[in-house]
Amino acid sequence: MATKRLMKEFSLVQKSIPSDSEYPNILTLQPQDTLFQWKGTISGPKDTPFEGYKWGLIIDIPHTYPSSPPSVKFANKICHPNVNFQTGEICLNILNQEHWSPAWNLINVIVAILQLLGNPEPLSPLNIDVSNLLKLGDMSAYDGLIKYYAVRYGLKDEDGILD
Amino acid sequence: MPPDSVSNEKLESYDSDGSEVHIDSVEEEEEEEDFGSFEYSEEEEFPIDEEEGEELEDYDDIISNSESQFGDDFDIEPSTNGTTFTSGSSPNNGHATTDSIGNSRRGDEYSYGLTQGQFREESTSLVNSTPMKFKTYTTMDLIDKMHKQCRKLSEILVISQDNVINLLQFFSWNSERLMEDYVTDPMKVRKDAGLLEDSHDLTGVCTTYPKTNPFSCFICCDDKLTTYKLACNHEYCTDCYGRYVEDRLSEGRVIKCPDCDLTLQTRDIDNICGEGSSLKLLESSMKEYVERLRAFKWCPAPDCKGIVEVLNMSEVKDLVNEGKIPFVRCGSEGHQFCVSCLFENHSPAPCQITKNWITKCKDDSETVKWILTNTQTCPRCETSIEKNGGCNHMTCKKCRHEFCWICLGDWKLHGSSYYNCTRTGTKDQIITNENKKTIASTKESLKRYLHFYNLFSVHEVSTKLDMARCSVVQSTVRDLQVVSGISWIEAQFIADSAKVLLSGRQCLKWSYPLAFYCDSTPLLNIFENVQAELAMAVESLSKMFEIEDPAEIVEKKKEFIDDCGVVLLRQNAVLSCMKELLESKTLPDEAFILKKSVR
Repeated sequence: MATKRLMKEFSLVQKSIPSDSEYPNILTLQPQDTLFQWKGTISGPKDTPFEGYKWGLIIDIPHTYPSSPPSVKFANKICHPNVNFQTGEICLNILNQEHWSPAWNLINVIVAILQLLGNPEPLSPLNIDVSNLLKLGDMSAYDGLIKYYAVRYGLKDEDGILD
Repeated sequence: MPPDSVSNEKLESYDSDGSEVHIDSVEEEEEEEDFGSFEYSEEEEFPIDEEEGEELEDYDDIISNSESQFGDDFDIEPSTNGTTFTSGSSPNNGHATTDSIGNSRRGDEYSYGLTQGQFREESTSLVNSTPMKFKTYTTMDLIDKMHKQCRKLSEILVISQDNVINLLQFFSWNSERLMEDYVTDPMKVRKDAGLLEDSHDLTGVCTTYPKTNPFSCFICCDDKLTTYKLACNHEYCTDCYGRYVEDRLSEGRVIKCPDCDLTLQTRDIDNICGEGSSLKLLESSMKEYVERLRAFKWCPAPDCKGIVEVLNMSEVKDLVNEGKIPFVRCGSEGHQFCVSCLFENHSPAPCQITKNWITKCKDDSETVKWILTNTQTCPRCETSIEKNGGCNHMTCKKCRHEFCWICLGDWKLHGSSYYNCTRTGTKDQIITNENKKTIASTKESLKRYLHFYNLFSVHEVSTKLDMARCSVVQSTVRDLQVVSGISWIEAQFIADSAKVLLSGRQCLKWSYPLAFYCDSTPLLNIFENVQAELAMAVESLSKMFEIEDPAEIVEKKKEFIDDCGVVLLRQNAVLSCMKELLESKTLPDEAFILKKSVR
């Protein structure tokens, strides 16, 4: 089931990424050696401190997909309240078995991650320092810290597209 | 398992008017009535004379004292309304029971309940006295109770019962909040819970497609012929939908459409996963339901689905402070458990000691296990030594003593048998000799703990083995019953004995933590003697269960019954002695202070 579904998702992705204007922030999304390992690149959404920088995503798909959710983490360091700074692990409810629905696909997942960038949830933090800034409402420090790490660790154009 | 659940069943099997109902019909009767309307409360009495100077007397006297309580001292108060019992014995034949106890007591010290192979007397013993009042429920009882609540709410809120189930699941069975919110803004509550805005319930539609034009399911991407969709028109094949719903049945929460917030109704779930599936969801949401009701407790025994309603919850704290164990019995298999610790009945050890002991075991047992399996102590200086390779010729780093790893003997005595010990039978001797040496106090306390921990875990393991053995014996005897036509009542002694054995074993097990926390006093010596007697009795009964031949078991009925009598007597002696220990304040205060686990 998983393979057939992933084949179909692959053809959908090929059609819509990167050409579809609906997903301007998904730069690339492609399977690696097998259909169960994908990599993607996203750019920071407009009007967020992440705007103008790029990050890679590593997507591992379980063989029980789509009954179980894929596991997604950031490939390079990102400073975000709901992302573990060291490991890139993302705290997002739809990535939990409990909240995952088989009706969602990989593009939905990445869209959700992009949304998380603009709408952090400081109450379930994986990066406590930056969530505290957000909780205290110190937006200039929050934005500044994110930008600092984005400049330091974000993908540069000359890195090319992550493959 | 409690030794008296038989007698309990007997209790339950009396109708309130006193007429006897056959034991097999207990459950039916419970369902008819407002389930399990019997309440038990058994008063603890410790009628042991506490004259000073007698503490050191042979404990047999105390045993006989505690014995006498059955016949003479234990008050049997007739129940006031026929359903609430105030003593451990059955209310409507109290006199008859007292008489038969009196007789058997006079006849033979251990001739226990030979009448009809029942242990009538035991229900009056300390072993079974619990200060708790409680009702027992099964999961089905509770489902009925949940349905009742749904019916009531559906009448009040004028919505269908299915909707109420969804709403209650959404509100984690907090019916007050549901009522409040629903009355204020029904539309919002319906929307949040994923119900359609009007109160007409639309069930989903099951569609069958023709083979020529199959449905392509988004989830599995296969062409399928049957699909299911809710009013939101999100359509998936029944296979994927079924898997999706089945995955969520055990979560006890509302199940929504895979692609939107619309909630699946009870009928949708049954349509998709087959009849009775919605019941599974209801059962799994029962966890939240029970947690909401403070007086309801799940039986902590593995795989047991029994539920107990504690009627005197407010007294639990006081009872615990008095050193009594607030234990109850679950209805399904008669597991005894402590309401305060939510742990098996740990009588005779009081709750605080149990908590301390368990924490201690958790902290230390891994270390202890490692030390036990991987190290030996240097025969001269008692340092723990780990052998991490090399030969058996050890030299203690601390005292430079050279010894053999295998026999722990002095290496010099090994002469020419280098690196290969051939000496046998000396190890025990050497260790006992070494034991006489003075040892550092930390070493001592670890040793002391080890001693008790070993005893404790040995009995824990034995309990499991006994349990397995008992069920084997019971099934073989059941087979024999069929072949040889022995009546059920005649073979009942084997089930009773099994219960006595397990309860005795459990009492023994928990007496070790108590002893561990006691200061060394003459009373503790007595306690340890009584404990040892119980251990002997339990082992002897346990041995009886090793008989393979079912015919022989039936032949040895009298021996079984006698052994059970001894176990019960000794168990009572342990319990009364425990009571004295607690009252005599030989327990250091630290035993009652819950130590934080040190990591």
